[in-house]
Amino acid sequence: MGKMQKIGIWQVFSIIFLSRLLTVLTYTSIGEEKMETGDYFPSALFAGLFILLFSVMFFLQNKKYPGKDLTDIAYMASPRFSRAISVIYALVFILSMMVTLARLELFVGTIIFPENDSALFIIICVLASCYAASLGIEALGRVSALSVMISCAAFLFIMITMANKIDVTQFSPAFFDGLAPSLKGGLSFASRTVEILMLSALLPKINGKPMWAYFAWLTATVLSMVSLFFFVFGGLGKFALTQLFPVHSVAVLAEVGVFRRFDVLLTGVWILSAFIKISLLLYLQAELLQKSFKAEWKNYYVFVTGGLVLAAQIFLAGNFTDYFYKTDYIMRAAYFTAFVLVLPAVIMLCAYIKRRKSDEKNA
Amino acid sequence: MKKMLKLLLPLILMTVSFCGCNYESQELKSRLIVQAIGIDAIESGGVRVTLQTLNTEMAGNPNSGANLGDIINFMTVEGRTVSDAISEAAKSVGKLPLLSQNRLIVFGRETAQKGIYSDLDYFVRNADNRATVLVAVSDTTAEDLVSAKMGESILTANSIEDILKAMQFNTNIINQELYKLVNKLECACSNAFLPVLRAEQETGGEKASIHFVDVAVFDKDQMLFEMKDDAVTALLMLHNQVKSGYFSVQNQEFSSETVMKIRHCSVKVKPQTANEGVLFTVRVKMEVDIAEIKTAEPFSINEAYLAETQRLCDEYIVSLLEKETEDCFVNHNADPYCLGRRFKRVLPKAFKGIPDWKANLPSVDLKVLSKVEINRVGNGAENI
Repeated sequence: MGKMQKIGIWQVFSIIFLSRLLTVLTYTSIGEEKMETGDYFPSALFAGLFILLFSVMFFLQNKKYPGKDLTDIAYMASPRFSRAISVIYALVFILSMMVTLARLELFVGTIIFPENDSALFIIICVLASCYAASLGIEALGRVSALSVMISCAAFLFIMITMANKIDVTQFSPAFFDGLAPSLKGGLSFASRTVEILMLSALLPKINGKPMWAYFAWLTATVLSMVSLFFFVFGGLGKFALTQLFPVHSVAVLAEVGVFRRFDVLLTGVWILSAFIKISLLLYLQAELLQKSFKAEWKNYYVFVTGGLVLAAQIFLAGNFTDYFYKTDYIMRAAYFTAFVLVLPAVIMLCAYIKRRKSDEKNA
Repeated sequence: MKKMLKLLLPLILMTVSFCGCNYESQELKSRLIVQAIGIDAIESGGVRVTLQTLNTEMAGNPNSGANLGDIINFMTVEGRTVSDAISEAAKSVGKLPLLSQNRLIVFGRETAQKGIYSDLDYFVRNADNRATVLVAVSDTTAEDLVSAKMGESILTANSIEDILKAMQFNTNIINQELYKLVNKLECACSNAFLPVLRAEQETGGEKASIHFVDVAVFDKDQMLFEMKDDAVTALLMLHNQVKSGYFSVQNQEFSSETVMKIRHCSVKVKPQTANEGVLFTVRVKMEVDIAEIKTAEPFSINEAYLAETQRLCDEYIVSLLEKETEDCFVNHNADPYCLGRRFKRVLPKAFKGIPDWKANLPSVDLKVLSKVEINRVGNGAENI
């Protein structure tokens, strides 16, 4: 058995920050709760609070079972239970991958190659992700650490070059229609944060204190959401909400001297983040499966799942593309709560009961 | 073997990325590169769309010597909707339209009077179209403006864009980008506005010239009234978009007229509630140069002249803003200045207390505080 690959705190932060950044970048108001532009700022802050709430079980897992993921904890209760848990979470990651790929396909098909079939692009992207996932977490960590710097530089550049287009009169007042829209928006944003589960699955592979990476990630995520909303609504105003991808649309305002159309920079960042997120999800589901099933099949899990996700995207694209658009925020929050709070609580409770029983037996 | 594969993979990817495109319809020459789009409503309920497109044969071979025609082509097509008409145009020339290069959307006067929103949706929804494309109204029909020829090698859309962008140095011209127009149309407390342009045939020639006429103000999406000269300056000023330009004051005591060049202008609007009404305090800070003094004989600038000119400049700005906003509020119940939006943002509770912002406009007060600084006085300053 080879030495277990581990990654440092900065790499963990980079990998989950890029993954969450993609969710912000691909934000579309279609199917979302209707909010005034001014409500987006408090909703980003509420999202931070909801993410904290959703992370309660992750905190407990890190405190009571440091260095163990949920399948390891479930194994304490029963090996069969552990197998079931690894299959369940592998499916959760696969679904998240499908949604990510579907959004990427929607973006490529409508913005980059509107007149062509985007299948070739998607095939190349999945192949590259499979290859990256097969290289392991160290390689993913290293590429993320580099990519996060490229992404931040690209954002900073776009924000600076469009700063003169910001018109604060375009912001509507916060809470104009009460607290409910912001709270709903916050819950909706938070329920897209699969990164809590990613962190939970990455715990055995983290070198250092995982909570540092967590809080740095949460702060950076909320700040990136607030600053992106500021530039999107300060630049385009309510018009942004008529666009399929508002964050991408705002980049057309950026210009410096004779140079314009910096939206290509955002497109690059977007594809890079999608590549990292899909690779990480592929890697994590393979890790979960190899723990409970045959370890030597790890690369098969990566490539077979990659193939299945690709086939689903190509043949059933419409259904999966619509998956999150058609589900309202309550359904999304319920789905999310089940896998982020309820199931981890059940796993830890079972492990606790089993330990107590064995302690009683030994006594 | 693995090493070999790792070496081969980037080589294969490179060779794939260096090859040409197989999509003939994607070649620039095979695209209908749209430069301007004119929309006129027709009696049957559909639209007449006039396209100003780049002559790609000419643009691709400007020095070929062959007679490839003008740099631009025009075509007019009719359809039920804008997209229907554009696809009709594409069908007639066998080229795929490319909207990302479009510089201008023009509505005919009659169309603007009937309502523009239904014809705007195509441009909002189409990912190819830029949010920053300029929108204007033609004084006659959109077809007249979009199909105006200004010369063999002149891109009319380019010239119109230049005219509209002259607002950077002219206080009587204003332009409007698509996203700004949509934001105003969607705001219940603001009135959208668009520049009105006219194409005039030059006497004895085939060429046309384009002129900025005035600014059309809309109620919802229908043209309501028009603003001219000083009203446009006030509109620009209250949107804090005055960058440069000229205005003159009548300084009778010293000269017949003094022309001021604006170097910098900053306008801040503070909404307040006063005596159960709404008050906007507008602070204008302007730096100006003396550009021209109209006198019958040589005249040396002195302190008294400067103080009086400064006072007159302040008076001009206060009277300009107060008069023009009052005219808009009282006579048209219109708020193209987006003051209602500012009021809503700063005092949301008070805004909620007003059932209809536009009906309330005649009772709105505007207090203008102007601070003009004369910076460069030019020659003849030896007496100061």
